[in-house]
Amino acid sequence: MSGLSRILRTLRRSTLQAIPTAICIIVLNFILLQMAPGDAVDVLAAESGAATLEGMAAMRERFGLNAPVIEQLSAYLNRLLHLDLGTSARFGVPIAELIAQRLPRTLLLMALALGMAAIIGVALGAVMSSFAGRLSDRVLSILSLLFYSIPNFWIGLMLIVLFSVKLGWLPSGGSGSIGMGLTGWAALVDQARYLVLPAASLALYYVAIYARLTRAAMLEVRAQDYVRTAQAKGLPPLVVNVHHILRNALIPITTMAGMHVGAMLGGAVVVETVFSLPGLGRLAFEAVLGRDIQVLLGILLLSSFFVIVMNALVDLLHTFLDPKIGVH
Amino acid sequence: MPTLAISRRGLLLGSLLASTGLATIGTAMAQKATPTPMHGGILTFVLMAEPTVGLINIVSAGATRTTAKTNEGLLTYDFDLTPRPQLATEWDIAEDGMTYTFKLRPNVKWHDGKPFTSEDVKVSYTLLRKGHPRSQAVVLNIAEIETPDPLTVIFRMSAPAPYLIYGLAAAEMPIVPAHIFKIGEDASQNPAIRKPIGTGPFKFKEWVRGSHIIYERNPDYWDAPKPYVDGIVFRVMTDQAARSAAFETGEILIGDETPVSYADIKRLTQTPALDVTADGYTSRNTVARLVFNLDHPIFSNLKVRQAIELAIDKQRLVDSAWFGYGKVGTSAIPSGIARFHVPVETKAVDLIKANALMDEAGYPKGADGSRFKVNIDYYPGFSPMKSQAEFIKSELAKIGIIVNVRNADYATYVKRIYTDRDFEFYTTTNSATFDPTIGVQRNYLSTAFTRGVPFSNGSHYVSKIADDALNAAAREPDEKKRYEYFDVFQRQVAQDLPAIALIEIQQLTVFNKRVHNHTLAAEGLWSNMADLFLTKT
Amino acid sequence: MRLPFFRNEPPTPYDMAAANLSNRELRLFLTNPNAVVGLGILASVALLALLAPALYPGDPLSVVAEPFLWPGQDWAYPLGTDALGRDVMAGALHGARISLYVGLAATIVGFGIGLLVGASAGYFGGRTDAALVKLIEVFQTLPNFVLVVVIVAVLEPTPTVVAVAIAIVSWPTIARLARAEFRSIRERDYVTAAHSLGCGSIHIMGREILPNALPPLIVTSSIMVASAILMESGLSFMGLSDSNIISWGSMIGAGREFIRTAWYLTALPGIAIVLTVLALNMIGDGLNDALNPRTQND
Repeated sequence: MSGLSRILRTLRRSTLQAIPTAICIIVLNFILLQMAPGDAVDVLAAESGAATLEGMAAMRERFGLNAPVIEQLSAYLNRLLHLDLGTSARFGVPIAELIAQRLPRTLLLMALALGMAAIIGVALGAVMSSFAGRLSDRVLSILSLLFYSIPNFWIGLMLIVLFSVKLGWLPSGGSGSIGMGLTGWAALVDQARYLVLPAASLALYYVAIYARLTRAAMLEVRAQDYVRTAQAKGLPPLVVNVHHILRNALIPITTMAGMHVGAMLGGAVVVETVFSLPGLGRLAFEAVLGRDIQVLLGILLLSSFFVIVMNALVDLLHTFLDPKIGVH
Repeated sequence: MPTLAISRRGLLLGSLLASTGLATIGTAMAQKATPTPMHGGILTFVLMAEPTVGLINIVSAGATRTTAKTNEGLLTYDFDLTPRPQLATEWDIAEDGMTYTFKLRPNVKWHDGKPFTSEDVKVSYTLLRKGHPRSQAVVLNIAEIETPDPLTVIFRMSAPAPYLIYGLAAAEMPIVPAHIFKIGEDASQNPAIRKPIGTGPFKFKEWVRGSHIIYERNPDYWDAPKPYVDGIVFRVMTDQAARSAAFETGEILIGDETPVSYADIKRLTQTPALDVTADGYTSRNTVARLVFNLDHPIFSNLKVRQAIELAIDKQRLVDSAWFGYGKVGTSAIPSGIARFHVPVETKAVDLIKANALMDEAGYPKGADGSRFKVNIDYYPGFSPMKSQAEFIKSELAKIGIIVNVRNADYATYVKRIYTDRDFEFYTTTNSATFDPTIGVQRNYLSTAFTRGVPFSNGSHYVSKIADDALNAAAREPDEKKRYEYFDVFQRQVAQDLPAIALIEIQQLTVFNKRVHNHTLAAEGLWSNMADLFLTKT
Repeated sequence: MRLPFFRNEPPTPYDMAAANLSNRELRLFLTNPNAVVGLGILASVALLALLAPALYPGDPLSVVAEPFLWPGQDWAYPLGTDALGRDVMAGALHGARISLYVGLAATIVGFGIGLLVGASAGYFGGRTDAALVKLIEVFQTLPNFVLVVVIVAVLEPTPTVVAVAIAIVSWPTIARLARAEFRSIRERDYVTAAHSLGCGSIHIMGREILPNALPPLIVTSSIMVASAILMESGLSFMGLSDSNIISWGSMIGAGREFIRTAWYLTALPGIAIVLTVLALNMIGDGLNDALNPRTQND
């Protein structure tokens, strides 16, 4: 069986398995939000500082908010079947368009954060396991516990104090220089300058997790027979470390990383607020406050499929990392 | 045209000097010699909330800052509300107030090249009359719109509307093209409200939701060589702290309605690049009120409301929650609407009398010193509102009323107060606008008690005297007689206390000193910004 | 989802010898320097929280002095005052009460739900298991924080509602662990023996399996408290908190407007959060080392 068809098969299988989960998520949140006081029209009226009864009634009619909940839900599910996420009551534009505008930034933020966390975490964990039980291990252990204990919004604010207010090196918020017409390399550098602090704030917590996972996994693997054999065969320590130990340690880390993708969206809500980044997290938060139910559902749907795809990819990665899994 | 005895701006300044010691605000601009206008540069204008339905206020009210840049109005206004020409060059009001005739500006073109004519005005005002949530009231009495020739528009009224001539500015009454909008259509679905086409100095270029809106200079603007700036970037920044930072770094050049915390104003104005002005709010008159639920058993008791009035030290409220940026409220019609304002709520704080009133009302103090516990809600759209609710809580504790401050988002707030009426009292801000019939009457008229509609008569106040006075004033062309009706209304409200006038809020525009001629009209930053220009430093 | 990160794989059958909280484990725990330091910090925080009403009677939200006093500027207000002139020290101490309350309440409720779901799934197996696993999966796929925001928006942002909302998103961690434990212990001889003696399911689950399944759950629950405190602070920071009660998160949220000038308003409550959460994580670490010798090193 070729690699590609295997990948496709795994993806298809996980997607099919994911559909009931996704429907549960949709229904659960739909009903929850229906129970929330007020609707999108109330919010629009309150925000604009004026409203009329007729105007509000007309909007409710247009958004289909007058229909019974069951009807609204089935209409929504029916639209989903036709791959239509609906239209935002708040912004009057297709939700797919709204999400597409925000998705790249949040993806970039998450990828940067996850990447940072993985690299620093694995490095830290490797160092810790090499010095297991010694002072440097203990100090780093405490440090990683500390990372694990810091609220992401707070570290974000402290980074702003240090890097924006005191040192003036990086912008304190926003998503890039707008209207400067930057292109190519300059645009990339500009984006990076705006994303480095948010990504670092989001990453810190995961650095701790990956460091400790790496440490534990490496200690465990090191004790196993085939590694001892490799060592006995006189393979250089670096080769043993990288080839056997790290490779195996990556399995639990990637498992966790797959799970973290969903959780990170929650973290993005707060971090995007701190750094005024117009991303998906912020959109989700505003959708809840604005009772823009379908926008929130769209985001949740996207994020659950994302989690599922990530998990499928992680599975595939494991077959590559661990030959034992690949045998059957 | 009625003229005002005293300039509104002078009054505002005088009161500021007297009450808060913020002598520098508002005068800073006058002292400096304005450099000659120059072309170039991009203005970055901060939006505290993103427009929702569209970028022009034709059937919605949330786009006051963007509207006028693309779509102009018939008139604009001096600081004292004296009308000045914009798309109308001349106007005439018949003696009986039943006919308005406007001569339109010739040779004006829409952004797409089509000529501007009286038909555009007709379509726009018909749409506004049908669908504008706030300014509908201004044009409601227009019975018919006639267009005898391409440059003449006549409004035939069903009843006089003495406020009409003050309410025709672009931000609330934009003119849209008749070749794009049609009478009878659902304008909120017309793509042109999200990609506006107008006659204004700026053209729509891009809207990235949640981030920014870009307008570029209209090179064919009728008032050449204006506009001076090459474009406007509206930056959406919902976060106050982020806005403050962006002003300091120069990323944002201007913002209105106090875009930063009042506590931060003093420090920001001490930085060399930034300054503030209180000008440009003549037609807004934002007030903060404490509104009682008259359907609630406790607050239906007048003595309880009177006791609360005596217990709240409004000046301390101004000084704490509003950091001194405001004036003590003295009437349902704020002093900003000087023509009709009568200071009738001026009782001094008197805790002894307040406690006595509470005893008389039948709510004696219990063993723990408290009389009863009530919830207070607050409008979530303006950050000092929470501190204001907390302040009221601490004031009322002094007369034994235990207050629980409820935190709610917009939807919960509207549902609780206007739909379910599941509340005791709340504090809110309101724009009293430029005329009581437009901005004040909606909070007090018995027929304005509308379930489910925010900013309506939330107290459920019903008074025949107030109703009659308001209704008479609404259709009385003679200003002196209107004053008398409003006088009766204000005294009645002060007696019945369905709500307490807490504060007349001092709204501030924060700007970078590179920006010039930003506030030349009563509309402030809601104007079309054709005159605005930037200097290098 | 915060999983206990010291476990590098889904929970595995547990070593019976280490299962009961015996003297040996307690000694191990109390000689672990991390655990002792953590206990010390947590005890101090708890003590200050308990003493807050005595040390700072009255409403910590009331205005007591001039605004923006820096820490140390006036020793009557050792941590300074905020933008409205409220005592930061009073706020910090009263805020500790909310953090600890929400942390504990959320964990107790979440532990209860998680144990119920996990134990039923693990013990009964079959369709019950399949259905409950699906339920766990749904909650694990949802972004936690977003779901909490939704629940708080539906109800009111009181501390109890916040605690319940956090419990609703954090129970799956316990459920997964409990399921694995119950599944494996179910097969043990003494459980089979109890079955043959005619003991009911409830008896077996409660009396025979639960005591042996508890240790890893206890380890995880200390991390859950930490996690709940973090989440509560995030919610308050976003403005979803009870306006009548001061909390660390809301102090940070209010202070950030002045971050360029009065950054201590943001820094101090943050340090309080970090210390408390760190203490709980250190305790969790110590518990893990004591109860789960398999992952001990060297």
